[in-house]
Amino acid sequence: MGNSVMIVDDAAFMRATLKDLITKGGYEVVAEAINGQEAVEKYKTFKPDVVTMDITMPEMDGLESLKRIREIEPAAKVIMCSAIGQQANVLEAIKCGAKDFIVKPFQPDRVLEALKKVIAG
Amino acid sequence: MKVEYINPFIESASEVLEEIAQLHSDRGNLRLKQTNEPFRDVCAIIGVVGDIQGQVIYGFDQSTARNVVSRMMMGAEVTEFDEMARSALGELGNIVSGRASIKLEKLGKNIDLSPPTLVMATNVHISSLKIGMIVVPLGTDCGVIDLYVGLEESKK
Repeated sequence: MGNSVMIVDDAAFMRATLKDLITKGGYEVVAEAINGQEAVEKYKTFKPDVVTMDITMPEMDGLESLKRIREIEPAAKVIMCSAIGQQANVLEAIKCGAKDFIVKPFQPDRVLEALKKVIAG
Repeated sequence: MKVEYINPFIESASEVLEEIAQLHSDRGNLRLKQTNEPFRDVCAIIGVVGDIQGQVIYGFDQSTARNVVSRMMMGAEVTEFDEMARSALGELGNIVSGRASIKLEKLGKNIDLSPPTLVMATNVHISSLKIGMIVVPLGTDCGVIDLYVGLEESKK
């Protein structure tokens, strides 16, 4: 079984698209969350090797969720995956501990490459 | 409204439609939206705050929306607007606006976007909109997509 991944995105369409491509890439999607709050809860339960995290979400956004997850597990590996890719957002995410930042719409290869790199690192 | 605020959204819509739906678009003539003119039946609404504020709305007819979503889902048939189809349209609005915000940043304007709100109804009027809106029709093989842009400089 490949490394475990949790997908966090409020859009069902985006979760399905990511799940399909990540599964085909040889990873196991162990959990999906629809907002930052749910992501924090499910992180504790599933302890995935990597998390893909959207930023703009209701309830709790991806940056706040990233911070909370890194408090629970300082070594948590989180890849931001957002349409909101202004420089300030990217820098803020990296400062908060994100390992990579993918701007939507993403190329499948770019996502798999990021997963590989982050798991290896 | 300044054209420099509208162009990033038009360019982004054209690029993103090509990338995620393999859909070519031709820009029609810009016009001012009349107050009594209803929006199209399926609208993805994105709120904009920051250096510029207002709303950007992506409007589709029912059949156009179904065709666009079908293309986004690798040709899967879309017969009803279930959660998957609705979220795909919302995400389209989110991604186009996100890319526009990167283009605006290069022009020195920083904006934040709200998550998309999807409205599906006929003869829709949105009365909270105080800013005049420009309508940009984008002609595609799936039908016309109307881009409604209502943005103004934020008061300091």
